[in-house]
Amino acid sequence: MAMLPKFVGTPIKRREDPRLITGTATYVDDLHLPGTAFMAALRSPYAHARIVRIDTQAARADPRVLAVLTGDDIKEFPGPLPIGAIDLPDLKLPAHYPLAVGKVRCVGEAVAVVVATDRYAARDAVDLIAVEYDPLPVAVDAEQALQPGATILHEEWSDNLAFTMTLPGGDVQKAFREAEVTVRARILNQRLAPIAMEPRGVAAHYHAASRSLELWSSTQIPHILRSQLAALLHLPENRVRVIAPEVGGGFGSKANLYAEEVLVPHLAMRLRRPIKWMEERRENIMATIHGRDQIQEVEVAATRDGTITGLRARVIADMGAYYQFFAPGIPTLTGLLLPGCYHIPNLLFELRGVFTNKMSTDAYRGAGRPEATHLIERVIDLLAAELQLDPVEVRRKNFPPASAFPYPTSTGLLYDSGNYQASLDKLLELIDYRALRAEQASLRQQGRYLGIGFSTYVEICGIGPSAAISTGGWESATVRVEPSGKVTVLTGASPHSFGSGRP
Amino acid sequence: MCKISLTVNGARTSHEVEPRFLLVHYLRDVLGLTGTHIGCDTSQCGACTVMLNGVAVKSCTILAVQADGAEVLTIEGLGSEEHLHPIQEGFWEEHGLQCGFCTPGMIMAVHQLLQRNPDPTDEQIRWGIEGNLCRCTGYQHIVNAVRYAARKLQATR
Repeated sequence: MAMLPKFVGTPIKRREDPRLITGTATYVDDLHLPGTAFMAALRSPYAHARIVRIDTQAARADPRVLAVLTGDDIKEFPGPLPIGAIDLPDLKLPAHYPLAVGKVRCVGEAVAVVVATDRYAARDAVDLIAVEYDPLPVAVDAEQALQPGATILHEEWSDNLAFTMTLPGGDVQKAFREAEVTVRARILNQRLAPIAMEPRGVAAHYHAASRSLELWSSTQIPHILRSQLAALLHLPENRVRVIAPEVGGGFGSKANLYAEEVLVPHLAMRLRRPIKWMEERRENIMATIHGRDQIQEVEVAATRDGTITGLRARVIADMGAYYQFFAPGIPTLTGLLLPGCYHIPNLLFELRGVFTNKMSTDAYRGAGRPEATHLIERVIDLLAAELQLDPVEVRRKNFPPASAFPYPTSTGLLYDSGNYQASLDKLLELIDYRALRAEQASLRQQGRYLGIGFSTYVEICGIGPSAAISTGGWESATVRVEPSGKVTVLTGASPHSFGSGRP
Repeated sequence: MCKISLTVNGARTSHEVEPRFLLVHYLRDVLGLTGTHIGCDTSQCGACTVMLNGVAVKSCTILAVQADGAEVLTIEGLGSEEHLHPIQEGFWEEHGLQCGFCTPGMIMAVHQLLQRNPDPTDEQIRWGIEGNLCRCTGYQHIVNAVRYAARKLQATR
């Protein structure tokens, strides 16, 4: 058998780079479809307000304007926007339309969209729309939003509690009753804006003769987008082609189904001409999903030698004003991965999702999983500090031994393989841990503070439906042998900066 | 409408534009030079960097009329896939990009940097590209790419 080429440790030049470094790559806004009209959005400056009146007369009178849509046209535009299937029995699912209907629930929520002959005309027309708002009290703090008397975002319910989830494992009460030491912490995993260098953008071209739609979106999930758009626009899936062209970064923020991805093709079908929308950076900060935003109250039970016997975590996850596509699923991953790389036999995870007057949170870099890692790693360090033990040794002590793999966690996952002690030993050797601690001690005497921190990480990836997670999807592939003898492989991979792109 | 005439990547061009029309839209939408990107609309990110009369500028906050009579160099004029400029080669060799969206602007900023200082230190490189943001790389490989380009340019000088 021929030797396989060696890849690990070998520099490999990326095949997509020539077009990226010469400026010939095609991102959404680089498409020039003949006759393209441009969409622009008017967004709410209020976090929470009733829409009293929208006057679009002046905008409609502009000869360059082809269409104006507001929430009053609710019967005309597709929606509400769906979310991915998720198994949360008490999930409240508020209607989330592509345009605000009746009231706005966060700054940046689209109130109207305009289509005009060019991008300058579209922006001009947005400025001609007058909206009268009746501002309402706001709920921007997730804990306060849960208090009685808080302003209610979705008035069909009596509170802002979006859903709950409880994940019990072992006997956590017994663990705390018998604990030799307990440590508590309140951890804020702050909200952030993902900010890919390329803002979002969508272009759509409807071919009336073949009743088919072509849509280009700066998206991480063209396949999911295609299925969802086909349903929303009442087109057969084989008449919808979604193309993710060059994507200028995603970080999770483009793994979604956004209002604009529905409005642009809807308008392209209605107006029978190509429509493009490019997000401005200002809009990107307001109207593209945010990440994280969890308040975590955590308590750990342990023996004096640093062995963890139990963990309790009460987590409040700020969902923002509506659910975006994966939103409620994100903090449930925090629960599943709560033990991280450690053997924690007794555990209780109590999650509450909350609606607040802020942009929706959703998948951002690890999507709920780094939130679990940060929590458990902080807990390990706090426990080590409390017991005056080396944080490395507390980690080592709580790793499941290599002989325990495949290792079932108390949250219902099965870690297929691993040797965490050996990995840690290798790391300590590579960094010369003793020398580093000695350097830290000598610098401390000079009044200089050198920090040494450790973190371990394990992640569930490629999520398909399983006993632990009811949602997710399966990958498929098509392999085609061409007449030339060459082989074409079609997969669901959608490159957006990973180096997995085509030449 | 105002008539403007300028030279872009060595070719003369002339059009009627609105006084408010941005240079970046002129390059991208009128001339079809879409290698120059728009990342922030506000001169923060540098994705739209081009050379205007030999000086790197952010074309998202320059009016097209301000470029009347000027010489403009964009990423398309710097090199091609067949004849990569040493800076472009450096970015490819040293993995100086991931999503590539900031890269053309970054390369143009580096072009100015190396014209002014053919042998910059790492610190000078980092100061030299401070007006250009990259979200993917963490900059270290970009610094390596600039050093590669500086070496290559000096060797061929």
